[in-house]
Amino acid sequence: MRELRIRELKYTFHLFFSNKLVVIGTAIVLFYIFLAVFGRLIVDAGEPYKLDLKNALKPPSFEHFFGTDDLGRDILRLIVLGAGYDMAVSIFVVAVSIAIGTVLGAVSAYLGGKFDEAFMRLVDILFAFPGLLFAMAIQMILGKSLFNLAIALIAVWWAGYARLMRGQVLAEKGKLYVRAAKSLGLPGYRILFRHILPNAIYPLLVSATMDIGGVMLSAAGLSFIGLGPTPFEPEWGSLVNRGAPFLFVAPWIMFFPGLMILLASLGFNLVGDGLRDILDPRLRR
Amino acid sequence: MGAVSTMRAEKTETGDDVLVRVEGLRKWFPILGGVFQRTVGYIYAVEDATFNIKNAETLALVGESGSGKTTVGLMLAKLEHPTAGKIFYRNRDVGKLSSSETRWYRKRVQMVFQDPYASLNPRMLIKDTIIEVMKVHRVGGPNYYDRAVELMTRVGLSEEHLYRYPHELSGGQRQRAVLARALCVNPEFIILDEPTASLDVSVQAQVLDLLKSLQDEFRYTYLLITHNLAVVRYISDRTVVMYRGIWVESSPTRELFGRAEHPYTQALLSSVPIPEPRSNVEKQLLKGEPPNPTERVKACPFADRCPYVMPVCNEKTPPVTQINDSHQVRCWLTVKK
Repeated sequence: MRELRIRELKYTFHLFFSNKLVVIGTAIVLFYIFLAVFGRLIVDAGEPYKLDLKNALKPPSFEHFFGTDDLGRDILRLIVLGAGYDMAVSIFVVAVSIAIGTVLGAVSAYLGGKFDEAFMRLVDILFAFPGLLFAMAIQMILGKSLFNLAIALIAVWWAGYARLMRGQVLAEKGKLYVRAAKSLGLPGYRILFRHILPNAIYPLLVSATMDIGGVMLSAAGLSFIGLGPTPFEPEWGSLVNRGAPFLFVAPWIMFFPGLMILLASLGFNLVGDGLRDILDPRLRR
Repeated sequence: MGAVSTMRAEKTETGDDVLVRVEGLRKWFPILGGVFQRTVGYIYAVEDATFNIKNAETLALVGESGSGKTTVGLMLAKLEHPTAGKIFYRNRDVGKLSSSETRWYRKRVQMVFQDPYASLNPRMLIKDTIIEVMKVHRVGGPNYYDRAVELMTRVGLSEEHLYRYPHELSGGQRQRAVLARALCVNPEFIILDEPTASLDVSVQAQVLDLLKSLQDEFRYTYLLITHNLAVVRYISDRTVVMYRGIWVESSPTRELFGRAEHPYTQALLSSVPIPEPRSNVEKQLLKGEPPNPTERVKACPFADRCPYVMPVCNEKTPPVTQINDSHQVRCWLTVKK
């Protein structure tokens, strides 16, 4: 029995390593997670406050690999410190959105009827607003901060997961194994959460992995237009914002944080793609 | 039809060992149409299903596709709600069970579906599938695992198969696993919906033998839903023939194969290929179109395809004729005799 499980595991690894792009994506993601977790240990957390105007707007050199910004702060160090903010916001937004979306979408689909109808109209209304604009409006109400930025993004993103989950559950609900579970006398909540949900959630996990990159872009976008952290929280979007006036004088201020955002999006998308293949037991063997 | 019900009821009261009593069961599925999803018509899946199943007996429900036999099974499993008619289980009205009684009912009545692969959760190990059912019904504890192994052995699988996902089993193994899941709560009544239809012929016989030996051992009562007359003949004690959702003939299986009275039953029986190319037995091929389920039956359901059709067949529903104690037919031909 154990041998069988081990064989299964080996097969999973085989699937994983046979796809080069997934391996690259995973490496990128792991690198970002490493930066986010250990960034403060590698780099002095006081860096954003160290103004050194003599060395302002210096191009990349051996002393400052990514150059310095208009206040003379080392871009590389700021980027390393910023990883924590960007990753925390993206993962927090996606995790909370998926939790809200999954439960509401699944229950709505399982109960059906009037409740489902009303709930989906609510989601439709949310979808009618342009996402970023809606997030901006919420944030203007809540006030500017990194946490409120996350709340605003959650308010926009959960509806997508709810809709996706509802569709998934509706599709699963009609399947024979659900009827069989019902005829076996299993209680409804058990059927929904133990039988339907595990079969319905995989597309959501894949889409969530890809969305981490997307949320990071949105968060960076919002903080680029000034709706985010203070200048002393070196979130990458705000770094790009900071570099905008100096685009022709010191393009490195914008370039490196931008590159980091781009790479993150790419990495999470690659992983999401690979997850889809690995997670589906029916595609195996 | 009313006459039938009273007759059946009397029979039960005389102390016959009846486990399941089905009376005038009807199921119409609404067809929704238009912008407002209003009911624009019905699919008349089952018009009148009436039969008794005795304890430890196998009743076969036969008929062509669309004759409503699976729908009857689904209603018995409480997966579809009857439009009319009643189901009695141990003299209790199944339509009026409370939620705790429904749990009691679902434990005693198990259904095995036509497609064993689709009826298993693809992401659960067979082990978890079986143990979950035992836990929910609090049967077989505390050593659920041991009981699962025992059951697997009983249905001809081994412990190793507990650690497989449904897609890692063959068709016959899946059917056995589904059977093990049905048996794990010690049911009394098992609804078998085309239990062999998705299997190879060689495996079919094995599964049928297994069903038979399980019945001998545990005195299960079976409702066998099938279109395969060879299976009916092999395993069932009584047979009810359905056509367009209406039962047309009900008889002990042996007698039915010897002297079928209803023209539809005769046609059904003669459609079974005989392994003798020069056989003289005349085949009765049915003329006419297969029935349209959205049209309601007015008189005899078989009137428009029957080779012996008479004017009265299109006017009135044929009454039930008793051929003998245990053999009933609904046909104008037998009335005339």
